[in-house]
Amino acid sequence: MYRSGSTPPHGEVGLLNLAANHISNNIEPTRQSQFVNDTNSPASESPEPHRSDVRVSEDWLAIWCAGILLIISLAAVWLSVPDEFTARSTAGEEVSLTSPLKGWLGKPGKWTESPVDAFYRPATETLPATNTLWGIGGVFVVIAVLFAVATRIHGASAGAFLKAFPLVFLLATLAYTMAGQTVVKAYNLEYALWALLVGLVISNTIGTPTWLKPAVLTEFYIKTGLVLLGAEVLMSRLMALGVPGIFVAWVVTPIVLVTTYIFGQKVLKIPSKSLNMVISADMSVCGVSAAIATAAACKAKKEELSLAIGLSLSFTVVMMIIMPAVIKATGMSEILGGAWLGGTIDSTGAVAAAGATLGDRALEVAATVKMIQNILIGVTAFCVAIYWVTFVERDPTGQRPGISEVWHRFPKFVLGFIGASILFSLLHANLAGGPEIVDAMISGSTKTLRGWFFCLAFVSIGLGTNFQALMPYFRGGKPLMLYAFGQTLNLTLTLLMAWLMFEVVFRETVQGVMP
Amino acid sequence: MSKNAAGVVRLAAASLVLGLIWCVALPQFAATPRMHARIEWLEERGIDPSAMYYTELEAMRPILRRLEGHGTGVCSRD
Repeated sequence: MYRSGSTPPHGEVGLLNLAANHISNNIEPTRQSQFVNDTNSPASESPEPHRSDVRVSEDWLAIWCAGILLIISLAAVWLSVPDEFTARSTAGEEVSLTSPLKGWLGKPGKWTESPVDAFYRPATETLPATNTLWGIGGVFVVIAVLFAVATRIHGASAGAFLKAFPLVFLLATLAYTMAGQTVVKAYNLEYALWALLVGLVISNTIGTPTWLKPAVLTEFYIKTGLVLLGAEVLMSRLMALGVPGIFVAWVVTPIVLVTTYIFGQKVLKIPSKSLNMVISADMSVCGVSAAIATAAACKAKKEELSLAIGLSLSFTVVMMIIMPAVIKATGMSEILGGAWLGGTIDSTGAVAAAGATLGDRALEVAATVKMIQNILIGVTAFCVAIYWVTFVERDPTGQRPGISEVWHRFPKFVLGFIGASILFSLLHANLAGGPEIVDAMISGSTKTLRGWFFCLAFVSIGLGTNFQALMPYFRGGKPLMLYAFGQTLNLTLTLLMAWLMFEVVFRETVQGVMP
Repeated sequence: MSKNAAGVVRLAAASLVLGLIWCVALPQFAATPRMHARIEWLEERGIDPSAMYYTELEAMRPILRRLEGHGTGVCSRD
């Protein structure tokens, strides 16, 4: 565990520490929380690395790895653009692009009766044959090579990583296959949950073998995945619903987040600030993705992220069924109902499913409000990281850290996340054919890779977690109370704001656009 | 029973339970008329309720095409 007053900067803890990931059952309330980094490793006690080592610190390596993947993915689409594309796109013609990497990067597909269908499905009268094995193999090779090199650069053994990685990847594939069952999908039970379960089953039965630990790189997978996610956070889509959308998604959400956090600290007196923050963010912003980004920004413990995600998914399943029924019963308009759903249900997919129950207009408004909220992830992660290094991690004397200290402690991967978001937002908005090129890059490669990184991270969390370590978090029910309070506030404020914006202030404009 | 053997037994039991749920119970539940209709309905609309981010949602494409085709947002169309 980091000693008080000598907290190394986030991400400076090496891959070796993570590889030596021991399970920490210590959840001492006042301890300096650290995201997924387990604390008994002797390497955690090593002196701080030199500033010059920053180039090869884990945060920077995550930025490098994701940067390389983004460059290759963009270049692949760019080089495959047909000659007449720019002219046709500029003329407003609808042109679709597909990444040439799409067939080489994939994940198990959905299935209903047999899990084999997730990998290979023969052609039918109406559908062509599908084979996801090449795509899964492609992802395996890409991540294995990239992370082996990164591990080597970081001073750990690439051989040990390569020996362990196939099994961790296999477990992630199993988790994806479990998540691909159509009933499981229909109830919004995301792969994160199954990845966690798969890891937990191993660690709590036979125990995680020591030789597997060099590939149990939770934090590194998450940081790399988050930088890739940055490319999907397109600010240019912020105004998709104009001012009403902004008010519902970007005014209510921060108010709910901050109020819930303060409530957790002042009223519930939740001992762990990071747990309080992760629950507040995943409830108010957009569920699992927001929880991952915030947990990384505030260095929450892996158990805290697991708990927050479990709470979020449980409430989402209930809300996606109950809310449309309430909206129908009260005679609320489709647009108002859609905005309410989009601003309150955590998960993006569940928002769409609930919105579609009400009708096409509700689906459109709900999904778009949620998309605008999705974009808030970058700002949330950045603000939480700044708040953490400035206020939460300041030394016991209460002295506020200077700029250099803030920079030193700041989780640098957040810069990669924000940088990718800004860069790809600019390309999306300003490049000729930008939307088509960026969308093809995301849907053909980076989205798939990002999903795998998160899945590998959750498998790693499961592999490093003891059930007993989760139990203390349930005592007293404070996380549940926090979530319930925050969601109640969210439901009330979002309904009020959505009614004001969509039914009062911009009523005629909205009716004109969505007749 | 040794600790290792007990672990292996627990792993086998957990795997069996999960295998039964995923390979027997869930496919049977999916085949019930109500669930089958629900799955079909979601697939027709391109909705994956387990989508984590809007880029994973097929249903988002036509929506974005329509909204971005309009230019900017709602309030700019006065």
